[in-house]
Amino acid sequence: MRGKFVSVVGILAALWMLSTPAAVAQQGHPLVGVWSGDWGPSQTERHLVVMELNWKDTTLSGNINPGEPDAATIKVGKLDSTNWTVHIEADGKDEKGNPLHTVVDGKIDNLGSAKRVLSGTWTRGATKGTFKVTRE
Amino acid sequence: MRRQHRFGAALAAGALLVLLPVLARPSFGQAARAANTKDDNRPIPRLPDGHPSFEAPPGEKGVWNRQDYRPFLPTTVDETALRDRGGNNNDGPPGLKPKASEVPFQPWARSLFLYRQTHEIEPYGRCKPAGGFRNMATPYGTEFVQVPEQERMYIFQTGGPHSFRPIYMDGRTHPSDADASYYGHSVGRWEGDTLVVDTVGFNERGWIDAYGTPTTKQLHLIEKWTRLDFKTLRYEITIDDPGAYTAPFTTGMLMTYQSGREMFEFVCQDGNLAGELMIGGGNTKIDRTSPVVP
Repeated sequence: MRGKFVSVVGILAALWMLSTPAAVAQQGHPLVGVWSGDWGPSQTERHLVVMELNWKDTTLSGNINPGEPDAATIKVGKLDSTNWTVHIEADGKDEKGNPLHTVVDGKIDNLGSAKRVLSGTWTRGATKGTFKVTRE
Repeated sequence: MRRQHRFGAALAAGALLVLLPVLARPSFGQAARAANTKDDNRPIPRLPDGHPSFEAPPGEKGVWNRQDYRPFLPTTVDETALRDRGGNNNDGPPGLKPKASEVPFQPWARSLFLYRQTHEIEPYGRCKPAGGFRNMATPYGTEFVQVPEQERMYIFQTGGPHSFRPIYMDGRTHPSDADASYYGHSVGRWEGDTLVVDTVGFNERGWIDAYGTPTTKQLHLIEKWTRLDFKTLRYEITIDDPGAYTAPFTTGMLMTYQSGREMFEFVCQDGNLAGELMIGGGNTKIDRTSPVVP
Protein backbone atom coordinates (compact mmCIF):
# COMPACT_ATOMS: atom_id res chain seq x y z
CA MET A 1 0.00 0.00 0.00
CA ARG A 2 2.79 2.35 1.01
CA GLY A 3 4.72 1.40 -2.12
CA LYS A 4 1.71 2.18 -4.32
CA PHE A 5 1.35 5.58 -2.63
CA VAL A 6 5.04 6.36 -3.23
CA SER A 7 4.65 5.34 -6.88
CA VAL A 8 1.66 7.59 -7.38
CA VAL A 9 3.47 10.49 -5.74
CA GLY A 10 6.51 9.80 -7.93
CA ILE A 11 4.44 9.76 -11.11
CA LEU A 12 2.65 12.97 -10.13
CA ALA A 13 5.97 14.62 -9.33
CA ALA A 14 7.41 13.54 -12.69
CA LEU A 15 4.33 14.84 -14.53
CA TRP A 16 4.59 18.15 -12.68
CA MET A 17 8.26 18.46 -13.60
CA LEU A 18 7.52 17.69 -17.25
CA SER A 19 4.67 20.17 -17.39
CA THR A 20 6.65 23.00 -15.80
CA PRO A 21 8.44 24.98 -18.50
CA ALA A 22 12.04 25.77 -17.65
CA ALA A 23 12.87 29.46 -17.70
CA VAL A 24 14.97 30.25 -20.73
CA ALA A 25 17.58 32.92 -20.26
CA GLN A 26 16.73 36.06 -22.16
CA GLN A 27 19.68 38.38 -22.47
CA GLY A 28 18.12 41.12 -24.61
CA HIS A 29 15.82 43.86 -23.36
CA PRO A 30 15.09 42.92 -19.73
CA LEU A 31 11.31 43.29 -20.07
CA VAL A 32 10.88 41.02 -23.09
CA GLY A 33 9.10 37.74 -22.47
CA VAL A 34 6.14 36.26 -20.66
CA TRP A 35 5.68 37.19 -17.02
CA SER A 36 3.20 35.49 -14.72
CA GLY A 37 2.05 35.97 -11.15
CA ASP A 38 -0.82 37.71 -9.47
CA TRP A 39 -2.29 41.03 -8.49
CA GLY A 40 -4.97 42.02 -6.06
CA PRO A 41 -6.27 44.65 -3.65
CA SER A 42 -5.42 42.58 -0.54
CA GLN A 43 -3.40 39.61 0.65
CA THR A 44 -6.48 37.38 0.44
CA GLU A 45 -7.96 38.59 -2.84
CA ARG A 46 -5.51 37.77 -5.61
CA HIS A 47 -6.04 37.37 -9.37
CA LEU A 48 -3.79 35.46 -11.73
CA VAL A 49 -2.08 37.68 -14.27
CA VAL A 50 0.02 37.03 -17.36
CA MET A 51 1.92 39.80 -19.14
CA GLU A 52 3.35 39.28 -22.60
CA LEU A 53 5.92 42.00 -23.34
CA ASN A 54 7.78 42.78 -26.57
CA TRP A 55 10.39 45.33 -27.56
CA LYS A 56 11.06 46.70 -31.05
CA ASP A 57 13.36 49.61 -31.84
CA THR A 58 12.43 51.90 -28.94
CA THR A 59 8.89 50.78 -28.22
CA LEU A 60 7.51 48.46 -25.54
CA SER A 61 4.30 46.68 -26.52
CA GLY A 62 2.31 43.68 -25.41
CA ASN A 63 -0.77 42.38 -23.67
CA ILE A 64 -2.10 41.63 -20.23
CA ASN A 65 -3.98 38.36 -19.85
CA PRO A 66 -4.08 37.69 -23.61
CA GLY A 67 -6.98 35.51 -24.72
CA GLU A 68 -8.92 36.07 -21.51
CA PRO A 69 -12.17 38.08 -21.13
CA ASP A 70 -10.27 40.80 -19.29
CA ALA A 71 -7.45 41.00 -21.85
CA ALA A 72 -5.88 44.43 -22.17
CA THR A 73 -3.56 45.86 -24.79
CA ILE A 74 -0.60 47.87 -23.64
CA LYS A 75 -0.80 51.44 -24.89
CA VAL A 76 2.01 53.01 -22.86
CA GLY A 77 5.21 51.27 -21.78
CA LYS A 78 8.15 53.06 -20.22
CA LEU A 79 11.34 51.78 -18.64
CA ASP A 80 13.57 54.03 -16.56
CA SER A 81 16.83 52.10 -16.70
CA THR A 82 18.55 54.34 -14.15
CA ASN A 83 16.61 52.44 -11.48
CA TRP A 84 14.87 49.74 -13.55
CA THR A 85 11.37 51.03 -12.82
CA VAL A 86 8.53 50.35 -15.23
CA HIS A 87 5.32 52.21 -16.05
CA ILE A 88 2.67 50.46 -18.13
CA GLU A 89 -0.82 51.55 -19.14
CA ALA A 90 -3.22 49.15 -20.84
CA ASP A 91 -6.79 49.30 -22.10
CA GLY A 92 -9.36 46.50 -22.08
CA LYS A 93 -12.93 45.84 -21.09
CA ASP A 94 -14.62 44.63 -17.93
CA GLU A 95 -17.17 41.78 -17.68
CA LYS A 96 -19.96 44.10 -18.87
CA GLY A 97 -17.99 45.33 -21.85
CA ASN A 98 -17.19 48.71 -20.39
CA PRO A 99 -13.76 50.23 -21.04
CA LEU A 100 -11.27 49.42 -18.30
CA HIS A 101 -7.96 51.18 -17.84
CA THR A 102 -5.06 49.44 -16.10
CA VAL A 103 -1.96 51.20 -14.75
CA VAL A 104 1.07 49.21 -13.61
CA ASP A 105 4.05 50.73 -11.81
CA GLY A 106 6.81 48.37 -10.79
CA LYS A 107 10.48 47.66 -10.44
CA ILE A 108 12.62 44.85 -11.87
CA ASP A 109 14.59 42.88 -9.29
CA ASN A 110 17.31 40.29 -9.82
CA LEU A 111 18.01 41.78 -13.25
CA GLY A 112 20.63 39.22 -14.32
CA SER A 113 18.47 36.21 -13.57
CA ALA A 114 16.39 34.30 -16.10
CA LYS A 115 13.61 34.37 -13.52
CA ARG A 116 13.74 38.06 -12.73
CA VAL A 117 10.86 39.61 -10.85
CA LEU A 118 8.68 42.64 -11.55
CA SER A 119 6.58 43.94 -8.66
CA GLY A 120 4.82 47.09 -7.51
CA THR A 121 1.38 48.66 -7.65
CA TRP A 122 -1.53 47.72 -9.90
CA THR A 123 -4.56 49.92 -10.56
CA ARG A 124 -7.49 48.48 -12.50
CA GLY A 125 -10.32 50.91 -12.93
CA ALA A 126 -11.09 52.12 -9.43
CA THR A 127 -9.39 49.14 -7.73
CA LYS A 128 -5.88 49.56 -6.42
CA GLY A 129 -3.55 46.81 -5.27
CA THR A 130 -0.17 45.23 -5.57
CA PHE A 131 1.30 42.78 -8.05
CA LYS A 132 4.24 40.47 -8.46
CA VAL A 133 5.13 38.62 -11.66
CA THR A 134 8.12 36.44 -12.53
CA ARG A 135 9.58 36.05 -15.98
CA GLU A 136 8.87 32.53 -17.28
CA MET B 1 79.30 -0.44 -0.61
CA ARG B 2 81.88 0.94 -3.07
CA ARG B 3 80.57 -1.48 -5.69
CA GLN B 4 77.07 -0.05 -5.13
CA HIS B 5 78.38 3.50 -5.74
CA ARG B 6 80.12 2.46 -8.96
CA PHE B 7 76.91 0.76 -10.13
CA GLY B 8 74.87 3.89 -9.35
CA ALA B 9 77.30 6.15 -11.21
CA ALA B 10 77.25 3.86 -14.25
CA LEU B 11 73.44 3.82 -14.17
CA ALA B 12 73.30 7.63 -14.01
CA ALA B 13 75.77 7.98 -16.89
CA GLY B 14 73.77 5.54 -18.98
CA ALA B 15 70.56 7.34 -18.26
CA LEU B 16 72.16 10.65 -19.20
CA LEU B 17 73.36 9.21 -22.51
CA VAL B 18 69.84 7.97 -23.26
CA LEU B 19 68.10 11.20 -22.18
CA LEU B 20 70.60 13.70 -23.65
CA PRO B 21 69.05 13.83 -27.13
CA VAL B 22 65.60 14.26 -25.58
CA LEU B 23 66.74 16.98 -23.17
CA ALA B 24 68.56 18.81 -25.95
CA ARG B 25 65.42 18.89 -28.10
CA PRO B 26 63.44 22.13 -27.81
CA SER B 27 60.27 21.88 -25.76
CA PHE B 28 56.85 22.05 -27.41
CA GLY B 29 56.53 25.70 -26.51
CA GLN B 30 59.99 26.53 -27.79
CA ALA B 31 59.27 24.65 -31.00
CA ALA B 32 56.02 26.54 -31.49
CA ARG B 33 57.75 29.86 -30.92
CA ALA B 34 60.51 28.88 -33.32
CA ALA B 35 57.96 27.88 -35.92
CA ASN B 36 56.13 31.18 -35.49
CA THR B 37 59.36 33.13 -35.92
CA LYS B 38 60.32 31.11 -38.97
CA ASP B 39 56.87 31.58 -40.46
CA ASP B 40 56.89 35.37 -40.20
CA ASN B 41 57.94 35.99 -43.76
CA ARG B 42 55.93 33.30 -45.47
CA PRO B 43 53.39 34.59 -47.97
CA ILE B 44 49.71 34.44 -47.13
CA PRO B 45 48.45 30.98 -48.13
CA ARG B 46 45.78 30.99 -50.81
CA LEU B 47 42.95 28.74 -51.89
CA PRO B 48 42.93 27.30 -55.42
CA ASP B 49 40.58 30.13 -56.44
CA GLY B 50 43.13 32.72 -55.28
CA HIS B 51 41.37 33.92 -52.15
CA PRO B 52 43.29 33.88 -48.86
CA SER B 53 43.24 30.69 -46.85
CA PHE B 54 42.72 30.97 -43.10
CA GLU B 55 43.53 27.29 -42.57
CA ALA B 56 46.80 25.74 -41.46
CA PRO B 57 48.93 24.98 -44.53
CA PRO B 58 48.72 21.34 -45.69
CA GLY B 59 50.70 19.07 -43.42
CA GLU B 60 50.91 21.65 -40.64
CA LYS B 61 49.03 22.39 -37.46
CA GLY B 62 47.82 25.82 -36.43
CA VAL B 63 44.95 27.75 -34.86
CA TRP B 64 44.03 31.41 -34.51
CA ASN B 65 44.00 33.00 -31.10
CA ARG B 66 42.67 36.36 -29.96
CA GLN B 67 45.23 39.02 -29.11
CA ASP B 68 42.70 41.03 -27.11
CA TYR B 69 39.01 40.74 -26.58
CA ARG B 70 37.59 43.89 -25.06
CA PRO B 71 34.90 45.33 -27.40
CA PHE B 72 35.24 48.94 -26.22
CA LEU B 73 37.83 51.02 -24.41
CA PRO B 74 36.52 52.03 -20.99
CA THR B 75 36.83 55.68 -20.11
CA THR B 76 35.45 55.42 -16.59
CA VAL B 77 35.75 52.85 -13.83
CA ASP B 78 32.06 52.01 -14.22
CA GLU B 79 32.66 51.00 -17.84
CA THR B 80 35.43 48.61 -16.79
CA ALA B 81 34.66 45.01 -15.97
CA LEU B 82 35.29 44.25 -12.34
CA ARG B 83 37.83 41.58 -13.30
CA ASP B 84 39.81 44.16 -15.31
CA ARG B 85 39.93 46.86 -12.68
CA GLY B 86 43.29 45.65 -11.48
CA GLY B 87 44.66 46.21 -14.98
CA ASN B 88 44.29 44.27 -18.21
CA ASN B 89 46.18 44.98 -21.39
CA ASN B 90 43.25 44.05 -23.50
CA ASP B 91 42.84 47.07 -25.73
CA GLY B 92 44.32 45.98 -29.06
CA PRO B 93 46.03 48.31 -31.51
CA PRO B 94 45.01 51.99 -31.68
CA GLY B 95 42.02 52.80 -33.84
CA LEU B 96 40.38 49.41 -33.85
CA LYS B 97 38.02 49.82 -30.90
CA PRO B 98 35.72 52.71 -29.98
CA LYS B 99 35.64 54.22 -26.53
CA ALA B 100 32.65 53.00 -24.53
CA SER B 101 31.46 56.62 -24.38
CA GLU B 102 31.30 56.64 -28.20
CA VAL B 103 29.04 53.59 -28.44
CA PRO B 104 25.49 54.71 -29.37
CA PHE B 105 23.70 52.76 -26.66
CA GLN B 106 20.00 53.20 -26.08
CA PRO B 107 19.58 54.15 -22.39
CA TRP B 108 18.44 50.67 -21.30
CA ALA B 109 21.29 49.02 -23.17
CA ARG B 110 23.89 51.28 -21.57
CA SER B 111 22.43 50.63 -18.11
CA LEU B 112 22.45 46.88 -18.73
CA PHE B 113 26.03 47.02 -20.05
CA LEU B 114 27.15 48.87 -16.92
CA TYR B 115 25.26 46.40 -14.72
CA ARG B 116 27.05 43.51 -16.38
CA GLN B 117 30.47 44.97 -15.61
CA THR B 118 29.85 43.97 -12.01
CA HIS B 119 27.43 41.07 -12.55
CA GLU B 120 29.35 38.82 -14.88
CA ILE B 121 26.86 36.05 -15.44
CA GLU B 122 28.04 35.33 -18.95
CA PRO B 123 26.10 32.56 -20.73
CA TYR B 124 29.24 31.53 -22.68
CA GLY B 125 31.04 30.84 -19.42
CA ARG B 126 28.22 28.43 -18.69
CA CYS B 127 28.71 26.54 -21.95
CA LYS B 128 26.19 28.41 -24.14
CA PRO B 129 27.20 29.24 -27.72
CA ALA B 130 27.93 32.89 -28.48
CA GLY B 131 27.99 34.57 -31.86
CA GLY B 132 29.88 37.54 -33.22
CA PHE B 133 32.86 38.86 -31.31
CA ARG B 134 32.74 36.10 -28.69
CA ASN B 135 32.75 33.45 -31.41
CA MET B 136 36.25 34.68 -32.29
CA ALA B 137 37.43 35.56 -28.80
CA THR B 138 37.31 32.03 -27.50
CA PRO B 139 40.14 30.50 -25.51
CA TYR B 140 42.44 27.76 -26.87
CA GLY B 141 42.06 28.72 -30.50
CA THR B 142 39.72 29.02 -33.44
CA GLU B 143 39.95 27.05 -36.65
CA PHE B 144 38.48 27.98 -40.02
CA VAL B 145 37.58 25.17 -42.39
CA GLN B 146 37.07 26.46 -45.91
CA VAL B 147 35.31 24.16 -48.36
CA PRO B 148 35.22 26.04 -51.69
CA GLU B 149 33.81 23.07 -53.59
CA GLN B 150 30.76 23.18 -51.32
CA GLU B 151 30.74 27.00 -51.34
CA ARG B 152 30.72 27.23 -47.58
CA MET B 153 33.04 27.45 -44.63
CA TYR B 154 32.88 26.59 -40.96
CA ILE B 155 34.25 28.20 -37.85
CA PHE B 156 35.20 25.80 -35.09
CA GLN B 157 36.16 27.05 -31.66
CA THR B 158 38.05 25.00 -29.12
CA GLY B 159 36.73 26.65 -25.98
CA GLY B 160 33.07 26.99 -25.15
CA PRO B 161 30.27 24.61 -26.05
CA HIS B 162 32.09 22.41 -28.59
CA SER B 163 30.03 23.57 -31.54
CA PHE B 164 30.55 25.05 -35.00
CA ARG B 165 29.19 27.83 -37.12
CA PRO B 166 28.47 27.42 -40.86
CA ILE B 167 28.91 30.32 -43.29
CA TYR B 168 27.27 29.92 -46.68
CA MET B 169 29.32 31.28 -49.59
CA ASP B 170 27.03 30.21 -52.45
CA GLY B 171 25.25 33.53 -52.94
CA ARG B 172 22.12 32.61 -51.04
CA THR B 173 20.22 35.19 -49.02
CA HIS B 174 18.94 34.90 -45.48
CA PRO B 175 15.74 32.83 -45.16
CA SER B 176 12.71 34.91 -44.25
CA ASP B 177 11.52 32.33 -41.72
CA ALA B 178 14.79 31.23 -40.12
CA ASP B 179 14.53 29.98 -36.57
CA ALA B 180 16.34 32.31 -34.21
CA SER B 181 19.59 30.77 -33.02
CA TYR B 182 22.72 31.49 -30.99
CA TYR B 183 24.99 31.96 -34.04
CA GLY B 184 22.34 33.30 -36.39
CA HIS B 185 22.30 32.66 -40.15
CA SER B 186 25.52 33.68 -41.90
CA VAL B 187 26.18 34.32 -45.58
CA GLY B 188 29.63 35.30 -46.80
CA ARG B 189 31.39 36.73 -49.81
CA TRP B 190 34.84 37.96 -50.74
CA GLU B 191 35.57 41.64 -51.27
CA GLY B 192 39.08 41.44 -52.67
CA ASP B 193 41.09 39.62 -50.01
CA THR B 194 38.60 40.40 -47.24
CA LEU B 195 35.97 37.88 -46.21
CA VAL B 196 32.70 39.69 -45.47
CA VAL B 197 30.00 37.82 -43.54
CA ASP B 198 26.45 39.06 -42.96
CA THR B 199 24.49 37.48 -40.10
CA VAL B 200 20.92 37.83 -38.84
CA GLY B 201 18.46 35.60 -36.98
CA PHE B 202 19.91 35.66 -33.47
CA ASN B 203 18.02 34.56 -30.43
CA GLU B 204 18.48 36.60 -27.27
CA ARG B 205 20.10 33.91 -25.17
CA GLY B 206 23.76 34.85 -25.50
CA TRP B 207 26.18 37.73 -25.20
CA ILE B 208 28.18 38.64 -28.30
CA ASP B 209 31.28 39.35 -26.23
CA ALA B 210 32.67 38.60 -22.81
CA TYR B 211 31.73 42.06 -21.53
CA GLY B 212 27.96 41.82 -21.90
CA THR B 213 27.31 44.16 -24.82
CA PRO B 214 23.49 43.98 -25.01
CA THR B 215 21.75 42.94 -28.21
CA THR B 216 18.22 42.04 -29.26
CA LYS B 217 16.64 39.78 -31.86
CA GLN B 218 16.97 42.71 -34.29
CA LEU B 219 20.73 42.24 -34.29
CA HIS B 220 22.42 42.33 -37.68
CA LEU B 221 26.18 41.73 -37.79
CA ILE B 222 28.65 42.47 -40.54
CA GLU B 223 31.99 40.79 -39.86
CA LYS B 224 35.16 41.23 -41.91
CA TRP B 225 38.29 39.08 -41.77
CA THR B 226 41.47 40.25 -43.46
CA ARG B 227 44.69 38.26 -43.24
CA LEU B 228 47.26 41.02 -42.90
CA ASP B 229 50.25 38.66 -43.07
CA PHE B 230 50.98 35.03 -42.37
CA LYS B 231 50.57 35.40 -38.65
CA THR B 232 47.95 38.12 -38.26
CA LEU B 233 44.22 38.19 -38.90
CA ARG B 234 42.26 41.43 -38.54
CA TYR B 235 38.69 40.92 -37.34
CA GLU B 236 36.24 43.80 -37.70
CA ILE B 237 32.63 43.68 -36.60
CA THR B 238 29.81 46.14 -37.23
CA ILE B 239 26.92 45.87 -34.80
CA ASP B 240 23.63 47.05 -36.26
CA ASP B 241 20.81 46.59 -33.75
CA PRO B 242 18.06 49.23 -33.68
CA GLY B 243 16.59 47.49 -30.63
CA ALA B 244 19.61 48.37 -28.50
CA TYR B 245 21.54 51.15 -30.29
CA THR B 246 20.66 54.41 -31.99
CA ALA B 247 23.11 53.75 -34.85
CA PRO B 248 25.42 51.00 -36.10
CA PHE B 249 28.99 51.01 -34.78
CA THR B 250 32.17 49.08 -35.48
CA THR B 251 34.83 47.45 -33.33
CA GLY B 252 37.38 44.67 -33.78
CA MET B 253 40.50 42.87 -32.68
CA LEU B 254 43.60 41.16 -34.02
CA MET B 255 44.20 37.43 -33.97
CA THR B 256 47.52 35.58 -34.11
CA TYR B 257 48.22 32.37 -35.98
CA GLN B 258 49.85 29.85 -33.67
CA SER B 259 51.76 27.20 -35.52
CA GLY B 260 52.08 23.75 -34.04
CA ARG B 261 48.83 23.91 -32.10
CA GLU B 262 45.60 22.24 -32.97
CA MET B 263 42.11 21.90 -31.60
CA PHE B 264 41.44 19.36 -28.89
CA GLU B 265 38.31 17.96 -27.33
CA PHE B 266 37.21 20.63 -24.91
CA VAL B 267 33.83 19.92 -23.34
CA CYS B 268 32.77 22.95 -21.37
CA GLN B 269 30.12 21.02 -19.49
CA ASP B 270 32.69 18.72 -17.93
CA GLY B 271 33.62 20.10 -14.54
CA ASN B 272 32.64 23.62 -15.53
CA LEU B 273 34.65 26.00 -13.37
CA ALA B 274 33.25 29.28 -14.66
CA GLY B 275 32.20 30.33 -11.20
CA GLU B 276 35.73 30.02 -9.90
CA LEU B 277 37.83 30.90 -12.94
CA MET B 278 35.95 33.03 -15.42
CA ILE B 279 34.28 35.71 -13.39
CA GLY B 280 37.00 37.13 -11.28
CA GLY B 281 38.70 34.38 -9.37
CA GLY B 282 38.61 35.18 -5.69
CA ASN B 283 36.94 38.55 -6.16
CA THR B 284 34.07 38.36 -3.71
CA LYS B 285 32.51 41.59 -5.00
CA ILE B 286 31.27 39.81 -8.12
CA ASP B 287 27.65 38.68 -8.01
CA ARG B 288 27.39 34.93 -8.53
CA THR B 289 23.83 34.53 -7.30
CA SER B 290 22.81 32.88 -10.56
CA PRO B 291 25.70 30.53 -11.37
CA VAL B 292 23.72 28.52 -13.90
CA VAL B 293 22.25 30.20 -16.97
CA PRO B 294 19.35 28.04 -18.21
